[in-house]
Amino acid sequence: MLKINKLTKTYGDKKAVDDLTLHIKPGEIYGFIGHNGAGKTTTIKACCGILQFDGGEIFIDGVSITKDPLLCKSKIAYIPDNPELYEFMTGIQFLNFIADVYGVGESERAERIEKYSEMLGIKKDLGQSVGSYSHGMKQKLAIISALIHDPKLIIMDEPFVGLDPKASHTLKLFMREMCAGGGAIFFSTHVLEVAEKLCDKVAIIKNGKLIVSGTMDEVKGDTSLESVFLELEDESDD
Amino acid sequence: MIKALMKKQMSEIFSGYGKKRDGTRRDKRGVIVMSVLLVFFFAYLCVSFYFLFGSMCKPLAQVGLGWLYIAIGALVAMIFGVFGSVFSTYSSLYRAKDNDLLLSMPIKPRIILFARLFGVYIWGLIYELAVMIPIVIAWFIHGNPDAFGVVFTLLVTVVLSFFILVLSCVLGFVVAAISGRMKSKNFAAVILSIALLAAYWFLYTKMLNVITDILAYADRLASAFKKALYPFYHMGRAAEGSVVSLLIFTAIVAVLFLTVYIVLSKSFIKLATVNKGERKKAYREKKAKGANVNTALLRKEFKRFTGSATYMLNCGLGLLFLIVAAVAIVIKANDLRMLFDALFGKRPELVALVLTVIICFMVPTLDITAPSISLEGKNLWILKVIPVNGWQVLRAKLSMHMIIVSVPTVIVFVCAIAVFRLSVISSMLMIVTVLAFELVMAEFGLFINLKKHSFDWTNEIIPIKQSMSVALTLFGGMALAGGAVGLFFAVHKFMSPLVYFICICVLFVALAILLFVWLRKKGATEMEKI
Repeated sequence: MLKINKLTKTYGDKKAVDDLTLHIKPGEIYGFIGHNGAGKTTTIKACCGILQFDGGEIFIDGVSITKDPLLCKSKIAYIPDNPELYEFMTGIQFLNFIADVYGVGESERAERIEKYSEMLGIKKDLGQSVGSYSHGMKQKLAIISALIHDPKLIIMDEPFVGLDPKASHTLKLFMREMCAGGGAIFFSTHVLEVAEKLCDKVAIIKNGKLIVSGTMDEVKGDTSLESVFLELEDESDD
Repeated sequence: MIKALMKKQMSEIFSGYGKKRDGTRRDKRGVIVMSVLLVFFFAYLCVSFYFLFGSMCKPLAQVGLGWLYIAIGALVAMIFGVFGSVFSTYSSLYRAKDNDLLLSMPIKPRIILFARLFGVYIWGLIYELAVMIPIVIAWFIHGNPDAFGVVFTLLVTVVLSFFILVLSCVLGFVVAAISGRMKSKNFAAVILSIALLAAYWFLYTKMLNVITDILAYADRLASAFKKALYPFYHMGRAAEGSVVSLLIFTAIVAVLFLTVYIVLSKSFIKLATVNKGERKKAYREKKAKGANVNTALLRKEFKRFTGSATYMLNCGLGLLFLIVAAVAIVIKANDLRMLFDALFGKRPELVALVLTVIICFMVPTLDITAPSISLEGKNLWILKVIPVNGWQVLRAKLSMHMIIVSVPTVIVFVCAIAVFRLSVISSMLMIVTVLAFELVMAEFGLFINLKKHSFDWTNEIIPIKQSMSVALTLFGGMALAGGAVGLFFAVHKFMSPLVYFICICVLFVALAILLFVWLRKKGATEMEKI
């Protein structure tokens, strides 16, 4: 579903992502872990077509993001770590805007908005302007807007930040439901406990380089993901 | 403690003075330029008010109504001071962003309130003095007050500043209460701004008549002041040297001030921590009308424009000019027809050419596209992740601009063609030339903004009002319209107005096509790479 092949991105002299290769298959929840500034967001933004990269290639469902970005974008959804949404729109106007852009039919969108907004507990606030939303509410709206066109792949940057426990739980349900239907999820997180419980596969990145990747069992073995992560971080420092 | 709070309050007031809009500090030269500009603006106001009130002072003082002069001046100073400080009251007293921070510190609420009131007081004082300094100077020169009068005039000026503070607090509360619950704040702000602008121009043009009326009906006005504006009557009498009036005026203001201060200090925590959001209404499901991607993008652009009073006022002011022009053409039809007949005789193509140039001069004030790319700001990521290409984004911005502009333009066309009975050829030339020029301006705004965009602004006023993109579009458009006039004077001896008109029309159409092709190809790619 998502193939990152020898991805390289530099900012000035600094290599933010260095020769990164990952493969996320349909049905997988793939966690992406690393310290602040490791290159997670850069990788994620490159996958969504927000950032242009210097080397390598990214394929979404077999289509190159550089060669046919619009087709790739129509297959994915992105939830940023800090969802800056259109504050001049109401929540429902924003969702309808996204639904229009992706060509979602009227009955389908109504059904999905009803379902997801009800589950995330934001339905009654959809008539308010996005400018009056809290961070958590914006995050919920961004999640609904990501799900509204039934994407094949969702790419998320720190999706659990700002969400209340119930919404976090609901998001995890959405993630599992989507992957059970053949979709895939690639997300970054600092919450290692969540990654450990939720992810089928995990990749750890440091200073733009992939340190380890594989199934959760392969990566953590008999210990916890936190222990492995801290150990690997220390090893690389040495 | 209180010193630190007052220092913070003062730094808030003058933060724009030592800093640029982007938050960086001005260099020494910048501070000097700003100081000169502020002094010039203050002096300009003082001089204007001096000439305005100076002409009233002597005649009123001569008939023993010197107090009326001071009372009228004080009333104007009060209005000026209250309107100047009320928005500071709104933002620093009722909607201050650091209320939560300060209330969490070991500071007594009444001290926070005192410091905040001090900031509001300074604002009101600055505005009051811009009016009162020239009034007092004119009074000392033409009113011949005695020693008591001189001292008391200065005293009542100080007391008046507290009266302004009281009114500013009350009005600020009303503004905060209304705006907190208002849904269409942006339209309300636009309508209020336009109404104030219209009132200013109306008063400015009628000022001489107002002064004449004041002098003619001074007696009636004096008795009205005594009845309806009692404090101002005593303020005026105090300026003439009346101790009793000084005491009455001071007592009235003191009572009002203490009442407001006590009420505010008792309710400050409640006021400062009240829910500031708009009235929440539970969402009721409605059947959504789906649209295609281009319509969705266009709707989004309209929402962006109508969602910001700053954007509408600064980049859409030309709409008002065009509508006023249409109304003026109809109302002053006979005068304009006579003027044009006298100037151009029976040469309708020249009339159409002049009208076209006049409209073209107004068009650059409609620079809606010029900040539109920068205004994406932190939302730019949305346009980058949704499956739309750069041209679709640019086309939506261009379409929104042209739809907004074309409505008043068509009204102007209809009025001009009907009033001046323009021929079909002249009418067609005017319509095509103006529409082509409007398209050129819309495209030019996008072109410049693609080259000179900025997304890291913290206040939308920066891309809307202070960006290179907007300045270049505005002045570039005016220069282009001016160039068309200048060129006519250069070639009119060997080129008929009709031929010149056709040339200008072709030039604008060619420019519009050229810019369109650039935006469609290179512009779209640049938009995607941003």
